[in-house]
Amino acid sequence: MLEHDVLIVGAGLAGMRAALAAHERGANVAIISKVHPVRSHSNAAQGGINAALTDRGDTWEDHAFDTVKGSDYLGDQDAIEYMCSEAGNELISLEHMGVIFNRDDEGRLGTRAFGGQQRARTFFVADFTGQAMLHVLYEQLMKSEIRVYEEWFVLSLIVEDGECCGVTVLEIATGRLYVMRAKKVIMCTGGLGRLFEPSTNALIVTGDGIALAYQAGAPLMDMEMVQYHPTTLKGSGVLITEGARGEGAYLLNSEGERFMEKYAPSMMELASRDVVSRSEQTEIDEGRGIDGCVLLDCRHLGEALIRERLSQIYEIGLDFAGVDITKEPIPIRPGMHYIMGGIKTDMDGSTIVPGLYAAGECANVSVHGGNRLGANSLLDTVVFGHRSGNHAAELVKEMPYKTFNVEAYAEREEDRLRELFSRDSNGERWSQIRLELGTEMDRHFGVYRDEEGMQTSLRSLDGFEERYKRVTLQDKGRVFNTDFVFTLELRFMLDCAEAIILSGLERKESRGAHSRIDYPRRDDENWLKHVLVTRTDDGPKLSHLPVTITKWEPEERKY
Amino acid sequence: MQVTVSVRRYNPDDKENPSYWQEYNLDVDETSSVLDSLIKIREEVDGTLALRCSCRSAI
Ligand SMILES: Cc1cc2nc3c(=O)[nH]c(=O)nc-3n(C[C@H](O)[C@H](O)[C@H](O)COP(=O)(O)OP(=O)(O)OC[C@H]3O[C@@H](n4cnc5c(N)ncnc54)[C@H](O)[C@@H]3O)c2cc1C
Repeated sequence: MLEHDVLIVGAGLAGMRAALAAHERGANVAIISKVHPVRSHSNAAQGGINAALTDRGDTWEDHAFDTVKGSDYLGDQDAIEYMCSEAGNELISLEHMGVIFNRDDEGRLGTRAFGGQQRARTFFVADFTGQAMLHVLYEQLMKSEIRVYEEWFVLSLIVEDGECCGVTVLEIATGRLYVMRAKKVIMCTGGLGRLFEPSTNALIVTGDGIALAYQAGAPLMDMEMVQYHPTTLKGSGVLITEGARGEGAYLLNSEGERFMEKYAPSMMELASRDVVSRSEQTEIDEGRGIDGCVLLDCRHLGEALIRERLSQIYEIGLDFAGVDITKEPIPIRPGMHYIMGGIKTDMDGSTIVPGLYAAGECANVSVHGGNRLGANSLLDTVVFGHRSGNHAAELVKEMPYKTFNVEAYAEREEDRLRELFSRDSNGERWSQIRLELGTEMDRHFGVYRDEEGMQTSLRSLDGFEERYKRVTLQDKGRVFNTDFVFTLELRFMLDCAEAIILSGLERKESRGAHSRIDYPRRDDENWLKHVLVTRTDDGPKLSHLPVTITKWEPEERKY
Repeated sequence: MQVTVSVRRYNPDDKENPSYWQEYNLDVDETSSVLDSLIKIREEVDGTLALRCSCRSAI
């Protein structure tokens, strides 16, 4: 029997940070990841991580205010205060572990400007910050000898008498199933970007953990809050970091105007992401786009700066758009990037299901509310990964393992899989449904939404569900069967889509990323509250929770 | 654009002939990467083709 005190699902930044914290507190820790840890999606983070360092006169209160305003006042201010006040410590400990952040001319840690913030407080390693952090945490993980179940895929959570006490998991390389026991399970499975087509996210980002927690009875909160990033490539959806605008790049329409003047006269290109994406979409919709895009102009930054600080996007421009950004503006458009919503947790990462925690993009504490500030997500992963790892490790000390009928769980999964494998091979496959689902979500849950569009998605979802019941596998082998893994991922994606669609229909106002044409204004009187959706035996149930306000009363949001 | 992709396959379950070449003919975009072509095969042509990939943006 495989068993660990603290079992962490996901080896991105949140998962590894949680594992190291729990290990330091003496718990027997293991991590499960469906890919090798350094292939986790955190690897793709380009621009940087926010922190208010006092050596340059910054204060965490200012960072917290920018975050609250960025969230369109939907973020819980106690959690935001905690995240921002811990940011400096986390950043410095990452530096001490070996993350080689860029330095300024005087040799201090250097910053770049990011959107929605009064001052430059984004620390970075060129434009591959996530990769730099992920590799350093992986080194620490190897040093610690924490057990990593690499290329293992979690199928379900085990909930016995209302308490989460393990998982069922597939070893991808062999196709073997295991039941794993744990005292605490921490979901660090990342976002759900691939529910949308296109997306900036890696192909593996399919909402597994969000759906697993939802299936286990944990509420999902503010799932309607889906971030469209202002600068993504048409077609592939590959990201061009906000760091480009942070370094001074302009946005231009087809008439060559810096159109952000009209929408955000003081912050211009560095207004909050929701604001910039809406402005771009408006320009495109009103006929001042170019082939569905606007232009990002980096030319004036000069080749030397581009090659040093934006080297990765220089290459991305060449490889994925055929554009040399030192010589020409690059066409970009708003594209799906991040889910602010997620598994509802308290500040320790606990969900309402005893034994089940969540941290990182899959969780909603909530620090991002209606709109995440760029470079606050990496911060969220390490701060709340750390805290949930600590919390879980303290509780397991005096706690016995729960006993349950291991065979029954193993058989339940075996039966489910046998049924899927026994369907004939000629039916519809996961790939067609996944593509249609992604296209549907992009159409009706993009930058602008309305009742009619969202209702259409709800009806389409019924159709996808029906088709999924008959989905078939082409690969009937057990060894490294990705046809099978993708089919299981699609199940998770459909569950996440349900939560997004229902929450979107529920919130009848415009706030943050949820911009409704039919309810164009923010309505604090009725909607300054969280939207939760919970799976029950009678289907999904919607409910609300108040937003925690500590210091900052809601104001009109201008940039 | 018509391309032929030759893939060296490996299937440890097949004791006689675990390793072999397989050819796929497909129509891809001029700007497609090799990875795009492999993904197209796995999604549209042959679900038994397995490969490791994740970010697909050359990181
Ligand atoms: C292109 C891009 C650039 C970004 N740039 C920035 C930036 O500059 N600054 C910033 O703050 N944020 C940025 N973000 C956002 C940020 O990178 C992510 O939100 C963050 O890295 C998520 O980390 P995580 O640890 O929560 O999850 P991930 O890093 O996504 O890790 C998820 C883990 O869960 C595992 N997993 C998932 N499902 C299963 C399963 N069923 N079984 C087993 N394991 C599973 C995966 O294998 C993986 O190890 C960017 C995002 C993108 C897409």
